[in-house]
Amino acid sequence: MSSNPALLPLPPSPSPPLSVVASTLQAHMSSVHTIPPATQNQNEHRNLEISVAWEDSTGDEKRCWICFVEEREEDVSKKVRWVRPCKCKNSLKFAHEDCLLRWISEKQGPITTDVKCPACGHVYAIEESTDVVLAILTFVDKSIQSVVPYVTLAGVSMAFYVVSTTFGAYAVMTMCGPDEGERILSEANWGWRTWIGLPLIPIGLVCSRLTAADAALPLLPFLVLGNDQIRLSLPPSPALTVCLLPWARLLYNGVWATIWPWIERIGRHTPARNGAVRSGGAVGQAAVAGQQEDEEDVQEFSIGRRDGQRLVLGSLLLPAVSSLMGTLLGSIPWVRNKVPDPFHRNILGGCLFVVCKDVASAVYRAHRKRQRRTRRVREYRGD
Amino acid sequence: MDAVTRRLIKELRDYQRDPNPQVVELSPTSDDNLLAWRAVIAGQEGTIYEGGRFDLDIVVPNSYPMQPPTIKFIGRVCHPNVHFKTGEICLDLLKSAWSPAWTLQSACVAIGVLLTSPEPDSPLNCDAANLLRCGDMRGYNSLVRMYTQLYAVPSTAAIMSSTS
Repeated sequence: MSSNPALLPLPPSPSPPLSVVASTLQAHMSSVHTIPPATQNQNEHRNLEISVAWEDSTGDEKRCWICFVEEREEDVSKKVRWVRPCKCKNSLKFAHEDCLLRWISEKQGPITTDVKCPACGHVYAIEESTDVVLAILTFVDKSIQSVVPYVTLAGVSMAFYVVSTTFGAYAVMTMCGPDEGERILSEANWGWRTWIGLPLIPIGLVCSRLTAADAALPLLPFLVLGNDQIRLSLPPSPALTVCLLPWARLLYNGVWATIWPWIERIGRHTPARNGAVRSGGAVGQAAVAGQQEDEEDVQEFSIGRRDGQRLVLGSLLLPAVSSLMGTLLGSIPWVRNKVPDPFHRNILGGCLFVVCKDVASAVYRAHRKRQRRTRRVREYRGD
Repeated sequence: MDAVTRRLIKELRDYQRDPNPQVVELSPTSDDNLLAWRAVIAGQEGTIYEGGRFDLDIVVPNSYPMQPPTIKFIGRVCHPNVHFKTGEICLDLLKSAWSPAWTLQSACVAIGVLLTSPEPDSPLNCDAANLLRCGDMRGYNSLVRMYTQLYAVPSTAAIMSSTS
């Protein structure tokens, strides 16, 4: 929407009739960019009113500025009320009351607000019969109208909170097993920390996939769980484990970041089909070209892998997958002996899954890249 | 005769008696439908739109003058606030700032003024707006001149269409 300051105040102006404004537009044109809005314009129009000769014969003739009907054309038998609602002069001075009321309702819409004259800015003074019932109902209507967005927002946030809390409770039950889970979620232990902590579980899980949360995640469990819950013990209690996991995550990501270039280098050298044929001088160039090609590949892959849906879904499914892996681990008698607590088996299972997944995706990437490099366009062997 | 027709006839008479030099033509497209109008505005002399004749398609709603008319360019116009393909015009007086004090003629004049005082912060043609916003006046002016020559100057436009 362009509301040009130079354009706006031109035609519906308080003083000159439209035809005059139109013909004087050219005078404005040269200085169109230098006219400051509103204030100075009014003075200018006042000058115009004096200097411009009155070509219309409408001097005393009443002409409705809305429907353009003049008083002398009016059917005498019809009783039409003329009003002069604002300080406008000349062609904008008079209007039919009916026309003006229609325009006012058009401007107001469903809610009763003040309507200003489009030219002089005078607020139309409107008389209407009011009574107490109407006033009360209008007040109620307006209050409801203004409260609706906030209530909607509150409702949506509540729904989000409830869903997050439920997910948190589900995650606790799956990870800790029914016995420990019942204990943690029991009424005796349920306090404000639970109210805050449970909905933070899904948020924390999603954040754990974003590097942006690196700074916040390691501190969050300490703040939410509080000192009473965290006891140094071996094997670590669930609370301590939750506090340690973000640090383990940082460490793990760090390890990947260190070994990743190294893996890349292997990937580049093994399928040597690419550079093998090339002779001495060109090898350097080929290597550079190969490197660039790789960088492009990496970019292409990382964008493809990291789309939002997969990220959210993957992180929210982690508790379920961990518990499945934990159950599988529990079916091996040796592991069952070494790690008797199902919670620890689930955590181990989850970690195992993450490592397996990352290794698999690295292998997948490397193979895709190698395949890309071996690509050739086959010659057409027909006629 | 209903109010819309009466007012439109008055507007037509006002225009015929005292036409604004920039509005070269303004008339209903046919005698039996007063709600569809056609206008031609001339590009201001001494501006980058000089020599151009720009056709406007005007659709008047039944609730006129309470509601604004719908006005758009018919040919191609290169301007930050005009859609290059549809000819749609982004001008507040055709939407929220409308008042019955405007007429079809004054609206056309306002569109003529808009041509030479563009508002690049609410663009419908981002390419033209970006040229203006980064201050490339030479690029903007020559682009507008080229499109005016190509599509809005009657003689060249005729040559263009006959050769293609």
